Amino acid sequence: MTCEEIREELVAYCDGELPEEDRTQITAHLSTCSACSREVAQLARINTLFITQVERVTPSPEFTATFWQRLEQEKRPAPVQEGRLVRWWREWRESMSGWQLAPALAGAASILIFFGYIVSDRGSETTKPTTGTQSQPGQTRPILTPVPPGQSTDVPALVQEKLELFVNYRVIADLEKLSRFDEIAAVQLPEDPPMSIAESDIPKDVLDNPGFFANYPVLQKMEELKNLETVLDAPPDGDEKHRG
Amino acid sequence: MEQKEQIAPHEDPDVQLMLRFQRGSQEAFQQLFQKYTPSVVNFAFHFLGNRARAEEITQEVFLQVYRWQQRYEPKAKFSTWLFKIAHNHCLNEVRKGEYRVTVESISPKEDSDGDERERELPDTHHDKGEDVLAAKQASARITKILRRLPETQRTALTLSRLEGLSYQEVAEVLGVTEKAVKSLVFRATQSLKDGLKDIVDAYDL
Repeated sequence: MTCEEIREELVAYCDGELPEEDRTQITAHLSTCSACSREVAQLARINTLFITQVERVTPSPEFTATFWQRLEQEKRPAPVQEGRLVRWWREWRESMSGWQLAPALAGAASILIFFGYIVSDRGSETTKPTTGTQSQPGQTRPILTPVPPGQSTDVPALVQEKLELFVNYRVIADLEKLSRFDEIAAVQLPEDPPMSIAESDIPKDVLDNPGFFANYPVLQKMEELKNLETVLDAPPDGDEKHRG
Repeated sequence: MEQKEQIAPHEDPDVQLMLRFQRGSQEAFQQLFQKYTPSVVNFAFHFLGNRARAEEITQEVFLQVYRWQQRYEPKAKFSTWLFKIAHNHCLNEVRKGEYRVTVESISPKEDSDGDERERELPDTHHDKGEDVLAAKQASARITKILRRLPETQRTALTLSRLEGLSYQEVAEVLGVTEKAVKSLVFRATQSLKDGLKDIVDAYDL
């Protein structure tokens, strides 16, 4: 190795980062070359100067306290996320002071009444009276049975007019529930156990595992949704009757 | 010159502390926090050149250590893992581009005149007061040199010299090869040598 090559290795040599073989070779060279030895001494001085004189900072007195405070905040469980509609309503309500709220609510009510009138009026003109499709008392209605217009139901009047819309309405409602699955599982289910499900309807595996039980209604809906394509492709019997 | 020793991760007492913390010991986390806070603050300070931001970043680093306690795997020395997190935070901070990286000095402001170097020349007949002044001036000079170094050279130099990391550990932190680190440290040392030549030569008399 020439002096020039040796000098390129001297920083790593001083840092103790060279393989044994290179180290031995350089040590032997240094014992005979005063210029390279001088270079090693200079590097050592630069190193010492850097370590002793480089600017250092000490954390401010409040540093530790602030950190533990931040950590405590982090450990607190995050509040349950509210739905978009609920959040919108809350933010809107909070943005209104009491005296602003009354006329705003009155205005909203007037608009709703006005549109309600138009929709109901239009419905009476376009729908034809039908017979023979009303469900019998005591009989449970299957999910895809069309609902005759005017019959009391939780489905909006416009949806009642079209069976396809009605089917989609139920599916969309279920999808909405599924998209909020975490929220439902975290908040609603423990407070509102699925009491409406008869024990005989629940598979034994589920009964044996109470954890399954809480999710059972949702799993059931998912099972229904798996068959969605079959359901939608099937000829809408009710609609045929409706038209007939 | 002694060869640097490489220790296996499981032999690192700080890895053991981290594993204790993983098993639920808050006291182990406190020990790691106390031990490494000064190092991480200084690392971030040399990287960002701003003390307040360095403290902020250090807090974020330790919050991340807390959050990642379950994901931690002892694949390297604890300090290597910690500085890797710190380096990533510093890089993100710089990339945000919200502020220019400048080294804010906490020492008395030095004159920025061109004749600064002349006045900093050490006098062979100096007294004790002059020694202190020379040290302060050397410190300011080093800060300036450090500020002008490319980020990777500066990081390699500070981790290797100030934190005692081996080239292999620095390579892990920076995500480069060991050979690259050797070159980075060499070039950074050359810059220091050039910038401090007069001081070093004076002591060489």
